[in-house]
Amino acid sequence: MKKIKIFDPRDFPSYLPKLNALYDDLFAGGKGFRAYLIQKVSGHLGLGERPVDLLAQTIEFIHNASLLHDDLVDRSHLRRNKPAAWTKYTPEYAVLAGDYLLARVMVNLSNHGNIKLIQYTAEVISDLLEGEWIQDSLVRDWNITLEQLDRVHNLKTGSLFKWCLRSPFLALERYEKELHDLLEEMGTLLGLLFQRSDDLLDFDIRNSEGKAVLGDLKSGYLNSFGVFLTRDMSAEQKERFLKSQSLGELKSVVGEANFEAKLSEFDRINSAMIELYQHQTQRLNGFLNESQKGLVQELLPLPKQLYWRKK
Amino acid sequence: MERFVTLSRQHPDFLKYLDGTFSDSYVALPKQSMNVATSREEVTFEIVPVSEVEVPSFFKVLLTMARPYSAALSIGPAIAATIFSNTVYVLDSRLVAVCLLAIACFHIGMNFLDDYFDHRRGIDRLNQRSGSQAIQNGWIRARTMYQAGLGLLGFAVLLGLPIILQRPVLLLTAAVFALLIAWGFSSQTARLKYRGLGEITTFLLSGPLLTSGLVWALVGEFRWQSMVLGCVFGFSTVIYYHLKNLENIMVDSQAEARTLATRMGFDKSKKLVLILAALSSLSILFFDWAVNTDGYFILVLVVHWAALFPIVKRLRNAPSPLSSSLSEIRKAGLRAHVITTVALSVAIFSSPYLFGPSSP
Repeated sequence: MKKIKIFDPRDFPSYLPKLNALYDDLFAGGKGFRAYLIQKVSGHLGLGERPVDLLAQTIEFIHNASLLHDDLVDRSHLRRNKPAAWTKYTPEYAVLAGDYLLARVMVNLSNHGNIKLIQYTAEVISDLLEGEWIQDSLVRDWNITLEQLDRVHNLKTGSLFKWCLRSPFLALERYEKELHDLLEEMGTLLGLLFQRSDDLLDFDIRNSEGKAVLGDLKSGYLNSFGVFLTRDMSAEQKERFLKSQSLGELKSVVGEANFEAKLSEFDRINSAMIELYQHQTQRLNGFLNESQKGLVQELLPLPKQLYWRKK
Repeated sequence: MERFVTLSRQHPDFLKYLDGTFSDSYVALPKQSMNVATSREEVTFEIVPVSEVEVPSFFKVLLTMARPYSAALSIGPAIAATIFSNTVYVLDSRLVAVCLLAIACFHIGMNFLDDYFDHRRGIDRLNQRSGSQAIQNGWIRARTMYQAGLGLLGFAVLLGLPIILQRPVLLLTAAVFALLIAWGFSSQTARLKYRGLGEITTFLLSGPLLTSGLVWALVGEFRWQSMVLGCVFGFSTVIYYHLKNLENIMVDSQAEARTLATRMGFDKSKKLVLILAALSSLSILFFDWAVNTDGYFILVLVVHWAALFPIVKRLRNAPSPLSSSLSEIRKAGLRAHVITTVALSVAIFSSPYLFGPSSP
């Protein structure tokens, strides 16, 4: 699969060198998974090279704009093991750079001219911001439920996965409501699985990327696995859990065996979600012609790869 | 049978799966619902053999379904109204027992029907904190819940029948009115709850209609003061109901259910609680005036505000509709209702100003 160049300094004004430097840093370390997903879907639908490039660039611009804003809102100092943009270039520049990316998205899509795609993209951006806004209000909310967190993650993470699945069809002017409902359901499940898997990294589970351990907890945010671990705890046990400074300390509060049991239960619940995703993906066959049906086979293993962090 | 089945509303078996009548040996657990309450609704069910569903003990299921904590919203006012009636007339203890049992059956029956209709409409499928979740967990089939709800409402009517026969015209009118409102609260056809009329319905059913109807049944005549007493409970219940709607504002908006909370938005809804608290307080003062007790019930007002103050204070600080503090605030709303009920009941019982029970 061709590697798409997401950021090209020639696309941005040369008289704003700091902006270009900031973007250079920002786009350097990303995995580009969302762009990869766009390519996968578009490839089977026979979408041309230019629209695929546009869609891939769009989703990465939106995603990276959200990271710029997110890091500032969360006061995170590191992004992809490098100083976060707001620490290196000032918070004001980070905000402006994020806004500028979102504006570029609208300019680029308007040039493409598909009004339904523009409208849907605007909806996704507003979902994303709504999610960020609500998530910030949940900092130090230690009694949050998994269902409430799922709602935030559906807005923040799920919305982008839904966009990856739906936008190639919209670009092809496939507007059937039933098809898009189905893609929404698939995107919701993918987003939740991705987020839950990401939340496990915080507890050093399948953490091959070397993500900082207990980062969420230390910044006052109880993630999905944290909620799952603490939901039957006594107030006293929960307090000790929240004060844990290391994973060893945390596991001693939960109990090593209990920690493993909870992880197995969490995995079991999410495996059921993977099966649900696979059921929905099989239904996609009904909307595809023979030459497009390879897409289903491509999408079926995706949640397992995402959740179990398989390469 | 496949593990998952997705059906659209147009599918001939859709309602059978939703009601749980599609098979005797399997249950269909709703896992994903799209476009709820529209003609394009689509639900993905997980099909599980009956033997594999983890069902708690019968007693626990019954308790979960009946939601006894919420019975305080009707039994509490009923007890207060009974004590009020006792200041007017020497009561027949069997009559009191029958009336209270009828009210309890009526309330639990309404909870069952509410669960059923919220399942059908999708509210309880989208929101795992809504209702008892007994249907969604596969503990009971939706149809059985519906039948049990109807059965309890019917039983409540049967219990009330002898009393209605004694005072037929007006009491029958009140009973039919209450039944119609109860049915219309969440049923598919009337859907008062989803048309922004839930608050008014709740106010009437747990307030003036309940207390005046009960006093009427026990004493044999209409006492306007009982309507005022009902207003205190009506407003107090609406506070709890509104706090619940505030907690569910995002899901209700998604399901296009119109409540005061969804119509007013999160911030204005928080202020509404203060207005409702003022109305319930005014009702207490009005009741004091109505029964001519020279400010004796101001003590109740003090207790009422002591219970409401933490709610108003915590609500002001609730940052978002997903904040977990909303759940605590809702529970505090129920506690405030119970505290007010107890204070009011004790005050009525001990008031030296009210009529003695020997008075006709």
